[in-house]
Amino acid sequence: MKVSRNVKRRTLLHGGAGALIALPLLEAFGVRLNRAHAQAGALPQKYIAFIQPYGCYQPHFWPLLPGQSALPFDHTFGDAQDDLDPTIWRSGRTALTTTEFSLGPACESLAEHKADLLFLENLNNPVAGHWGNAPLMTGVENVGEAEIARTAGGPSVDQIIARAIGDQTRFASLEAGWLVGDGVPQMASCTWYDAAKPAAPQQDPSVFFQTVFSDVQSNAAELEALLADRRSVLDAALSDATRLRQSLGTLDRDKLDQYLEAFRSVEKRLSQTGVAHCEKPAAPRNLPDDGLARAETMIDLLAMAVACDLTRVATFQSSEGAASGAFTFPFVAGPQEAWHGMTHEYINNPERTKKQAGITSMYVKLYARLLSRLKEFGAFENAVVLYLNVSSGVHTGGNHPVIVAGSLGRHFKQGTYVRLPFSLTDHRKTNDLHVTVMQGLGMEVDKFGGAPQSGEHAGEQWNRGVLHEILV
Amino acid sequence: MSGTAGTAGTNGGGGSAAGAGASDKANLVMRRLTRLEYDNTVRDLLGVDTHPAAAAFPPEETAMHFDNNGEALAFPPTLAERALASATNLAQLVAANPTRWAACAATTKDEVCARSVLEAFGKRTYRRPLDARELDSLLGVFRVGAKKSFDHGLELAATTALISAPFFYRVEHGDVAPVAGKAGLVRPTAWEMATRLSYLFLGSAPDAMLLQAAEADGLKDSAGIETQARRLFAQSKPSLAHFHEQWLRLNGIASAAKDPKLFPNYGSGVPELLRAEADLFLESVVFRGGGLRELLTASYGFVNQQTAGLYGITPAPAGSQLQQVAFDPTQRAGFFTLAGPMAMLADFGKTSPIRRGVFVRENLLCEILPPPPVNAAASIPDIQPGLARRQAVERHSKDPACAGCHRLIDSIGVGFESYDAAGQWRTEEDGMPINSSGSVADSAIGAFGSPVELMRNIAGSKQGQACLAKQLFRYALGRSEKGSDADLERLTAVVGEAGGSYENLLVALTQTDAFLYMPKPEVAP
Repeated sequence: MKVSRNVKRRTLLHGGAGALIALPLLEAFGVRLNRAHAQAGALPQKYIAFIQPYGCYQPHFWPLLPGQSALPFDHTFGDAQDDLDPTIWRSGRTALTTTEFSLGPACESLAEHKADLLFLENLNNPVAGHWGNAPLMTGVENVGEAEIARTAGGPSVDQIIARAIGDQTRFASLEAGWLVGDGVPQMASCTWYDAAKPAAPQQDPSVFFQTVFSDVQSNAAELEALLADRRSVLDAALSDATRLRQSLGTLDRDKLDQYLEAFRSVEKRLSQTGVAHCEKPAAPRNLPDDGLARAETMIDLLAMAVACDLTRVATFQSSEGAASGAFTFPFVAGPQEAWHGMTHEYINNPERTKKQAGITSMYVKLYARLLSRLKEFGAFENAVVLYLNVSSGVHTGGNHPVIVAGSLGRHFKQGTYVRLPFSLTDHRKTNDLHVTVMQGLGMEVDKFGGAPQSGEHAGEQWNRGVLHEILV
Repeated sequence: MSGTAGTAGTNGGGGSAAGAGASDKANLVMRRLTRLEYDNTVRDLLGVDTHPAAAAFPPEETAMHFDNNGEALAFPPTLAERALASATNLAQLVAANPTRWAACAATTKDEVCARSVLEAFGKRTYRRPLDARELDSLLGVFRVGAKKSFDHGLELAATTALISAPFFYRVEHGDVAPVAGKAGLVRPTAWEMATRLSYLFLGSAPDAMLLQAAEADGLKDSAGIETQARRLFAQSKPSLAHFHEQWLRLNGIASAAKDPKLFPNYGSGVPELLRAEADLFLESVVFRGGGLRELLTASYGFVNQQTAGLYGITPAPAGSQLQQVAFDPTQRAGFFTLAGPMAMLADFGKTSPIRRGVFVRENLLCEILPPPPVNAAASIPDIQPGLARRQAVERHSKDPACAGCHRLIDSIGVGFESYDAAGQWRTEEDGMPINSSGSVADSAIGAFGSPVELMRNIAGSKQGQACLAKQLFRYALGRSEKGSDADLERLTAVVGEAGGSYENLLVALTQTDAFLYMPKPEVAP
């Protein structure tokens, strides 16, 4: 991977009122941050997740091994029921780790990034079907099976990460969305502050731009003047407080020391903020709600927000709610029918299969755009950029497509295809990927999520810990 | 977790304070503005009602239900960052209209003007006059900005004041003079007392009359403080609403979801209406001369067309406005038996005697229950046919691993089985009659025959009265009641008096040693 480094030091103004994130004590989630680890890398680590719903035509998604070719659209599967994904696809696919593979037809747009990718097959979204959006990211713990429909289960992994590393940036996390459903939040949002509060994604690029970039200055001289102002302000407040400290008792001094330390850290960051290729983007034009241009603009803005170090935790999601479910994707060739319904019964229907594969290619292309932009902006180094499909072939959670791009600074294998052992009953959940990523970010956590306390899955082990298969 | 029956103490200290018994001396520490106080303060100071803290500051570290505990409140770096951003914005807003500072800011625009502006602004922001070096420091920042323009100079100086430690913390140095008969105590200065009063009653910076009193070096005698307290009580609605919101966990009401199939009366929008009802009820108790007795026994509520059905009120009042209605006094008694709290303390489709029992113990009686063991089930298993919920709970309480605590909880909780999971009154469950008797084990309150009787008994009990006194003390002083036993006893007596209204209780609070005085400061070496 080639990353052009910044020649000219650019600085960024921190300020203005923003949409900010609650930061309860991390300890509440049993997470401690190993600071030494987190600071080891030269560039800050970044966590980015790209989420799409409704599965994909798996034979065109996964890498092909030498000599293999992709199944055609008119391939006839033995049983076309949508809950039979595993038999369609999994049987005979043994565990492997290889660097010898070519990209499946739906992933052709990732060609230039191939060396940075890890395809991860046979992970399972903890909750299958329509309720899988929140569980994909929350890992569902402490809820009964019947309650999944009304609680997300807990904070989502991105928000837990935001609490750990988000305090270094203007926005603890940023959530962008496209074609996110407006149904019940449990279906429509993958990101959650806690069990009851969705971190609802922003879907309007203009609003997103306004929130994130409105007071980012791009004029260097102006910026320098603003920074000088802030230094004067901080300097005066800090020296007055230091003098006040002399007149205080021990307990008050302890309190004031927190204040001093907090503002000193702000002062320090004002002088340290060096950014790769941060350029304030142009304000986006008005774009139609459902057009592809809107998704592309959102991705560009999100990548720039990361490059400007406005956040280190970012998600782009297209979720399984009502709106996207009814969407027909007119810009993808094939039958113009509501996507959701179609995904229930496309197997053994070549026209629909082609459409489903086309939609997947479109989403993967957006993911490829995200990777390209991050590299262009010098923000890919020390990042991990996940591609997570909520469902598998259709609506089930088994073997949902996952790609890990970037390695957080040599944590994960790259240019590799990892297929985990397959079993209907004894398999790994996406929770284990989340733990592995969090450890890569220096967080001291050894498991994430868990099976519901009641219902058919009670007692199952949904959190087995680190996925050693993907570690370098 | 076995054999914990004796751990449900009635002292209710603890929190993050040093272990009980280590010292009975209060840990008095300067209090940081909470988000709410910050927003109110900048609104009153600058006329900017944009709630920047609610939008952007990290939430408070809470202790003992409350967000204003001085010991618990920290100053995380995120707060510093956002405070700087907010101060910058606020100063910009004010600078956009320089005459807001002073007339000279639009005319002479010189340093004499800046000095007078900053003197006045500093006094409001620091809630006391600035000392010479503080004023010099703000003027220094002004000069940096004034290189660009006079207005910009003021803007920077105002930004500095709005992130300053004396703005964010309620620093108290006290008067030097000792107080007769109060060894080791001194009075807060007049400015500090004005600040104590204003943040207690208004949740904000001192108003004009308090500033005037402070300027005249008043607020030195109990009578003068009482006069201010009675005046301010009439304006304390938001502050007392915030007190109740935290003590009684009102925020949970609006987010209680119910199974629509089982509870057709609990439609969309109902939880929010039940929350509004709780607010109206509490406001009505507090500002119509009520006290603990009304809080726990008054038999009325506020319903509209949408919520009347939950209470079986027919005909339902027309329209969306919540209107006061009388309830059957054998069915409803006070805040706790309103549909909102009952629904909040229940699950999606079924009641939760445990959550209701815990609330009574912890929130109404101020006991501290040990946390359940980590492997405890989050809810009671579904009812088996032929087994009433009460019996299901009783069965679970027989398990020796749980019985220690659940003996204390469940015998209270089952007393509320007359209210289903949506807070509706019921007399039977699955064809079996409801038995709503119970007992408050290990307490002077003892057995009761109905939830209404239990509420009456709590209101009449020393423990219930002490609990309100304690909660209000914690909220008002921003600390635990440690070291203030005599104050607490006095306040408890006020709650129990015939006219033991909230007003009298709050006024009495301003007459406690804890409020009137402070320990003689010991400056660290």
